[in-house]
Amino acid sequence: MIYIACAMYMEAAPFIRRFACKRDDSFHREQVFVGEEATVIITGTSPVPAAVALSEALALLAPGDEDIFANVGLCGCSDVSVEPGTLYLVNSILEHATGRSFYPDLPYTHKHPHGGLTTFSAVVKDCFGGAFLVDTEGAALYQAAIGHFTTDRMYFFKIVSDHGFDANKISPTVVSELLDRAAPDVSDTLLRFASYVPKKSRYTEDEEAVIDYFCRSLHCSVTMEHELRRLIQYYELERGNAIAHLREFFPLHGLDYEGDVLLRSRKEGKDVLEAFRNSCLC
Amino acid sequence: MFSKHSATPASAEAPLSPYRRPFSTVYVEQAAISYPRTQRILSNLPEHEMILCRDYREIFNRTRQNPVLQKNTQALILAVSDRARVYEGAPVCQDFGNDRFYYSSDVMNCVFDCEYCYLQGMYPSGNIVVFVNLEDTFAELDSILRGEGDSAPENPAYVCISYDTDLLALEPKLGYVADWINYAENHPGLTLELRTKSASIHALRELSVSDRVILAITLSPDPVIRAMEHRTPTLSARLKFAAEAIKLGWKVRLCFDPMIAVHDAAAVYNAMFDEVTAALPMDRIHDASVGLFRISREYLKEMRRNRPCAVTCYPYELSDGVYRYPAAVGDPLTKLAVDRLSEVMPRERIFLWDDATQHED
Repeated sequence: MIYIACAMYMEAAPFIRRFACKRDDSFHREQVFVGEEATVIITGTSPVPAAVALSEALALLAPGDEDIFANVGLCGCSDVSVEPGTLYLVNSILEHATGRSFYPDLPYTHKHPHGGLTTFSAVVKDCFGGAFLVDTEGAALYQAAIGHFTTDRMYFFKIVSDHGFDANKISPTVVSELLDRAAPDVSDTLLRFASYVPKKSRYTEDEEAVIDYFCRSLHCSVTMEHELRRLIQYYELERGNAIAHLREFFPLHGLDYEGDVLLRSRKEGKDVLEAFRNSCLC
Repeated sequence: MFSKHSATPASAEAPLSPYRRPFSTVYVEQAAISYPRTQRILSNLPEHEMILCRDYREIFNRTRQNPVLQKNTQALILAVSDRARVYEGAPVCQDFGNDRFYYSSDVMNCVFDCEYCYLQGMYPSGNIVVFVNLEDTFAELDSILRGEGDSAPENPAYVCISYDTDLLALEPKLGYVADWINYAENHPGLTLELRTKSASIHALRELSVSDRVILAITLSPDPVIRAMEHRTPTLSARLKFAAEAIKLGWKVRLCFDPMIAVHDAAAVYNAMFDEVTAALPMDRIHDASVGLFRISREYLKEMRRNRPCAVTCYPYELSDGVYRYPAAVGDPLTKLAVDRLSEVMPRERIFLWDDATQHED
């Protein structure tokens, strides 16, 4: 899943369309649109409301280890030679109010130029104070999202809309035009990045049922279960087919998966766990 | 403060590897930018994007990094160290009988990606930090060599310079080994150990041979290299490198450490010792070290979280805060190594990492 945070609906609209997202009415305070490949969150403008909205939404959406996050929005640019509509992928974010800096990793190749972003507390129109790209949400969204995503799964796409002095020329039509133009590129890049995220190997339901039976039959404590799962993982990585090994191990120690036979006590379980450890080392 | 544009041209075609080239991003501390060594390193990285930062910890110590993934596309961080970079050797390190045993850590992290490496438990990041104020390390060593605060200053100092990294593998970019050799040549009473898995004969030929340096080459069986030592040279490449180093006049130490209890370990390690003894003039090996994989509880906990793999999931025994192989598994492997090496070199030149004595048993 790709989680896309935009400050305004106008910025989010092309992504809601592209990923065929539907409004999730269970969110009352922020607008959240959910699709099969992407979820779009409208955070509102300026740092604090944006961070609060994103934190709240992500807490409920509970992204997983294979999901990625993107903030897409307009920004100002201090370089007048940069054309409006130019799309940047941000490699560093300075929070102007606190002086703190944040660095997304950007591990994958892509075709977008990089830029440093400075997040101000309010819109700046004339003096960018040495900043290259400026916005009012980036740093806040980084801090809200970092609790849910690792630094390699966070991307900040910024589309240049103005150079400060010409900010008054931005109308809703201009915003829509700029986003419509950038959205296909951003979407394709995000889908590619999402496909690169390493997938965790998981047991099938049947395999998980066998492991679960083993834990129950041994009356495993949390620590015992951790050790048992690590042993199974070790066996799988070193020899392969750990589940078949388990099935062969059960009858040797009075266990019967089909009959759901349990040992009498945890003490007995510890002895069997010890025997299983030794069987993995043979 | 921040970069404007990428110095690396955007790639139009989708490449085979999804990852950006290692060192395509270089973070430079503002304090480091004026150091000549910074400029020298940057000139060795022709295509890179430079991002200025205030403090290397802002990048290296970030929360929620993915060190395993970062190893595929390592960034370089050039920084100025604000504290001492020379440490007394840790108890889990082999001191080879040296009383004054130190290691220096001017580079943090390694270009290679070994699944058993303790650095994964030690650092929160897979990126590499290079401290450019090497002169401060040399100044600190000067005072150690003068014996300040030392009860036995007359003993030679032994310094491992490539513990938390592989300096030789980084030599084409950093040039730190050459700097260390220059320093050692002018400081009697100092022996350096340069530990490496590199097999770059070219890098070796660029260095002046020094009898003050022990070139410690880590050897592993090919099945271990293929399964666990990602991006490292093959055993045959390392042996060719070791043979060339001996020919050039280097003191060569062979390090069979860490030995890993893989499936059918005896056969795997026997095959390796066959290959080693056939490829190298063993009578010209300075010494050898043997040690089983062992790791502190804290580091293994972190490694298991970040990288569950055969070596981290193994059911080790814990004692005194260190995880080790059970004796039934580890002892035969150690005996095999010592026996095989004893056939071709004097026993007193084989150093065995031992819990009790920490050097030769």
